[in-house]
Amino acid sequence: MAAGGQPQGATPGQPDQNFDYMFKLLIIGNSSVGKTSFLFRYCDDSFTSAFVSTVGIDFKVKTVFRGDKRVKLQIWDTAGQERYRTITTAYYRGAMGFILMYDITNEESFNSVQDWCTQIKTYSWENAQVVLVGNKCDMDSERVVSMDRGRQLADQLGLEFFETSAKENINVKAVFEKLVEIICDKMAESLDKDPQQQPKGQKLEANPTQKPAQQQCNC
Amino acid sequence: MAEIEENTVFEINDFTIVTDMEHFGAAFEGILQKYEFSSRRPCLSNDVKYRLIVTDTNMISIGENKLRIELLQPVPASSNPSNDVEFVEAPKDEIEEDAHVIPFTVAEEVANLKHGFEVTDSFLLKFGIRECIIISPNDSSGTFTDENQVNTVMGNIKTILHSSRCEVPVFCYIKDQSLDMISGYASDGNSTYNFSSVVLRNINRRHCSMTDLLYLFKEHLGASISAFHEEVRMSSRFTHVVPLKQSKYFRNHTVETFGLLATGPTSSLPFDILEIAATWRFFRENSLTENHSHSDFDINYSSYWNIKMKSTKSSLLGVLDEILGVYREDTRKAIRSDLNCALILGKHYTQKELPNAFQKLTINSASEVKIGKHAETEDSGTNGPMPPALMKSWVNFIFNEAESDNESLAHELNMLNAASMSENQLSDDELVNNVKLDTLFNYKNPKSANTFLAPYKCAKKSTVTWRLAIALANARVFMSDQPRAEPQLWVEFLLKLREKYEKMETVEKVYNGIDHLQCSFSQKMQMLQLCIDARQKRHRMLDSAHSANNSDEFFDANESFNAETILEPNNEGRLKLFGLNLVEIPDVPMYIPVTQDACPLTDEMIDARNEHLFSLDEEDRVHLQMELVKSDMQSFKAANAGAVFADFLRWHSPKDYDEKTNTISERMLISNNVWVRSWEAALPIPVANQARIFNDTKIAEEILEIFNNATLDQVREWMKPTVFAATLERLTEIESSYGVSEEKQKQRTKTAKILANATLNNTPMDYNEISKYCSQIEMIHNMKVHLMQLFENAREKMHPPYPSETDVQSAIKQLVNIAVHNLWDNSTDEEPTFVIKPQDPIGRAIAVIGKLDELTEQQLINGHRKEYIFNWKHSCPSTTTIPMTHRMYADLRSDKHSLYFSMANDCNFSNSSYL
Repeated sequence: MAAGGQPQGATPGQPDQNFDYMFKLLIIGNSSVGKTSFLFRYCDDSFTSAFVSTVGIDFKVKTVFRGDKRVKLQIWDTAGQERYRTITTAYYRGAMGFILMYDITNEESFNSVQDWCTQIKTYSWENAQVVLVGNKCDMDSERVVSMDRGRQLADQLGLEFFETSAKENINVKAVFEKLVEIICDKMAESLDKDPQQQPKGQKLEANPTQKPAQQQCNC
Repeated sequence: MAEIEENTVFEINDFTIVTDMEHFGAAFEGILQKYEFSSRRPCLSNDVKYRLIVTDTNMISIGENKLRIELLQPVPASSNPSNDVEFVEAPKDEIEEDAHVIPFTVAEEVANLKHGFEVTDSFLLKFGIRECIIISPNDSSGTFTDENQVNTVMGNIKTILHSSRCEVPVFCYIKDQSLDMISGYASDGNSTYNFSSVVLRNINRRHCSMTDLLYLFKEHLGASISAFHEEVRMSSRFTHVVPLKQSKYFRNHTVETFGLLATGPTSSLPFDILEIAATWRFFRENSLTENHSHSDFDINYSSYWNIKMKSTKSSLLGVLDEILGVYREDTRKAIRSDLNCALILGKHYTQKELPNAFQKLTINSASEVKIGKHAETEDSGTNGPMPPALMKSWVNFIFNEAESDNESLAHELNMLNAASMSENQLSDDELVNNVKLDTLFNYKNPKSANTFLAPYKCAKKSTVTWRLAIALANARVFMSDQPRAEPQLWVEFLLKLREKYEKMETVEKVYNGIDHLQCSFSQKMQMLQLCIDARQKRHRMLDSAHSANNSDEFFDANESFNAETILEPNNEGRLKLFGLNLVEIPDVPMYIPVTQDACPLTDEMIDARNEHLFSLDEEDRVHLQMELVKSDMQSFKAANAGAVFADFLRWHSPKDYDEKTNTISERMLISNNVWVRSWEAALPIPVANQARIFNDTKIAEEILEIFNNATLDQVREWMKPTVFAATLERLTEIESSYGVSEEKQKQRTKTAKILANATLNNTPMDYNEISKYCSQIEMIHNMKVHLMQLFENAREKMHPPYPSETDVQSAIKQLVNIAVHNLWDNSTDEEPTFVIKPQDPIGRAIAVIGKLDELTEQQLINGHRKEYIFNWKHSCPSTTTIPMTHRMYADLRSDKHSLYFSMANDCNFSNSSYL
């Protein structure tokens, strides 16, 4: 079973029956572009002017409804520092969606978008969906990356694009909704094309088979 | 009360008793009315090939017995849209409509000479009619046990047919339908047709040739032979089953194909039977003779042949099925799950204890005390069943080590070849043929692009894991009579792996950390390599640290130093200059320290780690991951005495320090945050003296332990994704020896996608599907190769003109299509046919393949199946009656002789016609 599709929750090994699908999402981008704030705004609807810099990788879980289906989002927040790159890229596998974030007040973070995209291509499965997000749009006075440039880059890379503000709660929910929507569309599309092929977000009815214990190397 | 009693008395005023048969009659009539079968039926065109299918089914009961009434109607056999399904009136009717009445369709159909052996429908062949109603019992309990019962029903049916003016023939089965005993009737009110069949286990020998059957046909009609009669027109078909002499095949192992995933048939070639159905189209009585001593039916002079290639073997599966078959649930269950590979080898392998200093000090019993110099075996590995030289070659192949001794490998392989052939003496010709076949089966395309069609989660090509998967699969196939060969190779692989690990040699290709797009086994191998790399690095560092300690000289900074220069090993663990000076001691340069590497993680380790993360609260999650930061802080402090937190941030997280304003970011200033706390607690310790974050020794030993304890099933499971991918790749390669249709290409892309999904999610259903696909494609490939070889050999032995390449290709394609249809096609579609003329080049080639010139006259007379159709336009019962066509179809097989009659009468002698 795909690690991304396998329900992993408080009761390991026991499928959590409270959702129909589970999507694993990753937020990536340079250090201090506002990834953690963005995630807190979405999951806890709270904002603090500063969060402690993320160490390694962390996660939050939120269940949303799409039609009559419950979709559990397992959202991984990553450290932006170069030093953690090997750890964070290991988490790309099985991720069905990426939120690639830059800071509109920081040129360097915008210039790194291309590199992050390459990273996604290298380390993630194909079909992973990506949304480009320019954060901190409330700080218009300090803006160095125009919305047009953001959109242009997104078009060029074939990504959806949003400008957001975790502080002012602008477009935060919209980003996640869009990402879930395009993942669902992609899933439906591959199902239509080939009914044999299972969606990567496994349905729970499929009764995911656990790996035998000896295969797990707890080193 | 009295009133009620009066009311409950009811009066019977209908005294008719409806019998079961009357019930049946009424119901049957109802069906005829439903079909509107109450007039002339249209004649069908001869231009279109029809086959009969059941278009409607009804159930009627007679008493307790249920009967199934089926309507058999013709549909065009070819799906050509230009063929109109509509019934076409016979042209004769259109022209002479006024002069003549429309003919009785059944009479026209029976007389139709086109209803010969060209038709593929068995009912049409038997009786020459194309539309009918068939009555058969619904289950075995309700059968008509004898002809009398059928006659009773048929008598009733005749009445209904006449009363409803239905001209469609009605048939009724006697006893079980499979016995094929049938009786039928059709009438247009004036003339009638009686259909009947005779099925015998053994026909009288005097009825086994055409002359005899002709007499029998005439006798059956009660006609004497007279010169005034029109001649009987006949058609015959002799089916000869010719065994192909060449059907042995031995895998020929060569140095070139040694490392190539084995393909081809498992033991024998796909086909060992050539079936030729030779047809002589309608000829006149006396033009050809066949009696007990002579036959004019020389197969080479028939009108045409229907060719089929068959196999007497129950399974035509090839090697790929053997390779992938071990993943089927039933095969997996057959392997012992309590033995690891070393234990499977039993006496062939004595596991050496790991050298442990303490063990030698403890002796448990007197018997273990050995006096004098005891001979310790030099060979540390396994002994048998695989010869040591061959085993060495395998292991070298797996680790991609240059084969030092190709000659000895060739010798070993020849021994292997000889062993498999020892029981069968092959002639030189056969040997040459075998080698030729082998080259085709094990086709190696040097230009093969070999690119994956989909992102499989498996080992990449040219990795040790990929070659290991191929080696294990090949070991299984090469030595299929030695089930221990595969575990032996695994054990030898482990011994070499351990040796290489100890010597810190390369064991797997690794680029830039663990590749998570590869399978779990491959990740373990990569991890081992990373452990070796880490050990090497650690050793280098310790060596240099040692040398740094020994030198008393002070390390003086060179004037030409810049930030790019990597420093010599030093006690402070400095790697290089940062380029800026310390914040609080502005005249001291800041150094980047040598840092520890984070522990690489395999998928399984990430899963285990995630599970652990999920069980922790937020703060514990952070603490769990602080290891690397703390190590960095210690190294940084060691490299930069007097450095402050701001200095650390400038190097480690530059975004958190503003060089212009000399301020630390807001988030790093949050009071008592984990970064600040850790910084304050960190002691200056260079990496060389720190506890290891990536404990390579522990991880490597754990992996090697898992490998050592693996059962055969576990090893196969590890190889599964890679061996499946290798199989699909190999199929692409062998198929590149000839063109692949676009449809097949699409099918392959689809299969590749299924495999990508299977390797990603480990879905057994997907694997099964691919396994089936690969077996089939390989089988088709084997068939093609075999046929190519047969035609190739025929060409050498035949006289010109030779069949063209296109003809041969088309012949191979059609023969394979027939075989494929008979093997897998469960659809109701008819078997495709391959028709050729005996005197055409391709026909002569087939004759050479089947060595038909060696057939004796007796063999010709006693063909495996003989069929005859007799058509006779004859006046019966007397010479003054209107001549009508009578038909007989005889089907003589070794175990069953069947005769089918369609007998006409221009008078209607049925009493029911009066009613």
